[in-house]
Amino acid sequence: MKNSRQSSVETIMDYLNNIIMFLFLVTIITPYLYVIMVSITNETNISYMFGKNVKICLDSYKILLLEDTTIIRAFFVSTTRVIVGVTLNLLFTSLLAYPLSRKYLPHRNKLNFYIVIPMLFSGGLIPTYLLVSSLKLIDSYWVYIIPGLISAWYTIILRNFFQSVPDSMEESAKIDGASDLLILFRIILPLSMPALATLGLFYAVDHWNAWFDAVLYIRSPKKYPLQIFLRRLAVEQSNIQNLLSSDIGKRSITPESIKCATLLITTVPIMLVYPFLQKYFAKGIMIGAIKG
Amino acid sequence: MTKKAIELKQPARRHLGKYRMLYLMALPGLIFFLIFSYVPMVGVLLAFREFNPIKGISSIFFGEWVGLENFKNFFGSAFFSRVFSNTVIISSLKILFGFPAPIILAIMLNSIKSRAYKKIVQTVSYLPHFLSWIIISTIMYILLAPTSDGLVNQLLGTLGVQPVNFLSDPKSFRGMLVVSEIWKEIGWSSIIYMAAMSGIDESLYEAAEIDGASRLQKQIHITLPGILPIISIMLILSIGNLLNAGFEQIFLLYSPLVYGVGDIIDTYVYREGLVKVNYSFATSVSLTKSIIALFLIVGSNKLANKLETEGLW
Repeated sequence: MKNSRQSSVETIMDYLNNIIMFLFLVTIITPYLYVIMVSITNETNISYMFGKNVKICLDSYKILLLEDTTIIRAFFVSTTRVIVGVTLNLLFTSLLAYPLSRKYLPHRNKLNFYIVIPMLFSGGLIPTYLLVSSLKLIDSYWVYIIPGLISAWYTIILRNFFQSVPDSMEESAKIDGASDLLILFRIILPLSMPALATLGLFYAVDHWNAWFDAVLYIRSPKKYPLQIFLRRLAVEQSNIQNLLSSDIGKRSITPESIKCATLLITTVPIMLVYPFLQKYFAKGIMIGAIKG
Repeated sequence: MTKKAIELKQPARRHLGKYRMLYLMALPGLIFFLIFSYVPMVGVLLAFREFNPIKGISSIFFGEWVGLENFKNFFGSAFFSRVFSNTVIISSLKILFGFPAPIILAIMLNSIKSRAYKKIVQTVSYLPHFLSWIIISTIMYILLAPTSDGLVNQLLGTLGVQPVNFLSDPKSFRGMLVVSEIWKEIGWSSIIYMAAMSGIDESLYEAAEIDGASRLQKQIHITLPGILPIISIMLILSIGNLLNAGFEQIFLLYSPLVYGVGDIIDTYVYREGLVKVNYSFATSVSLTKSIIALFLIVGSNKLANKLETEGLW
């Protein structure tokens, strides 16, 4: 849409547009920037933060990571959850999506319908809670993995992707005598890496960000995921006195600084993964989209 | 239809053997949905029975039958109108302000001449979508701190305004919900409109150019009509979701001070059911919501599908 004969009105509008977009950028970035600054300068007041006498002080991080190590435990819980969770998620989602993707499978439509119905109607919070409770999953690490094992929506996306793999691949494998299971794991999955990577990332983010299941089902603090740790420390202010009175803390660290440091530690993995999310999800959106 | 049924009937038994492996592969997934999606559906019967702590979960089948008493209690209580109206009002506000926002962003992004600048703004814009509400609500608590320490209140202070208590004030609570929801989702939601815009035929713009159309005219007469189908579908789907006003967000941001304006159906069910252990009552409330939501969601999905396949009108 390049036009060399642009009117001056349009040039002004271009500048205006760019400025507004810049302001928009600022709106998104400022909160993080503030949080980062609070965590490393121990100040909350912006004039002091950027003032001449500001001292960069990493004590908050030292307290959290070196002294009181409960955050490390929570980080470990969340990370393990992501690794184990995503592996099982992808395994079972693939196992379910593949047969559904074979157009020749009898009763396939009924099965697809069966998967879709739970997206429209659910038993609700109480029956689900009672179910999980009766399965003895209360306060167990497995409650992080099992109730959310397969997402109907992601199954549909993967099914659609499997459908787009050329039939010739399956046919020639069948001629060679391969079983369906073999076909899935040796042929289809390797060809589906982009879709698997995308869904894997989505499942991973879902796991990393999950917190309500911990609120509902987990009773032991040592099993808390990082999100709950953050919530309890930063909003419910539990344990903050302990942290503040540590040796390092005697150099007067503010509670805000600790809260912000915890926030950043919780956000870092998402930030690290973000370039990959960038790369894969654009395709992923197109694969699944609304048509799914 | 009948011919097909006859055709299928005979070979069905053979098929079960021939496709056995595929069915076996699907079995774990199917059992999973049976246990975690369909079994809880049976649990809604609890709404009609008195939950007995001694009988525990079997109260679903063996508890004392109370019929519609829970429903009557709920509809007769003051909570019914509060909770339903909050849900509808908050959802509507989110749609009113939150629906156009990504569209406007998409149009503005599309108007950026520099590809690099466009890419940067786009990339940054959908970062908040990947953050949990725990993270965002914590940021909000820090930024909106009611003392003169909070960042926003500092900025207001330079304008001479007294510190405002954003999250505890019933007057501003809903606004905070809407604004933060937009902040979180505007970038991600704009992607779909950006994609739709890139699908519009370039030659339409060129023709308009020749006719001397200004940029604004091009946007009104080409871009907007071009993405109208997707806008309609998204709008219909949003309305279908009306009863889901954002449980996670509200749960993390609300407090007793703002229950009057912020308590939605889901938060009410949580408090009544799990905190006060009023299982059968809470189940009746969530069942009411699920049934209404079912009509909304199915209806809106059907309508959206129809628009998609048959085009507009």
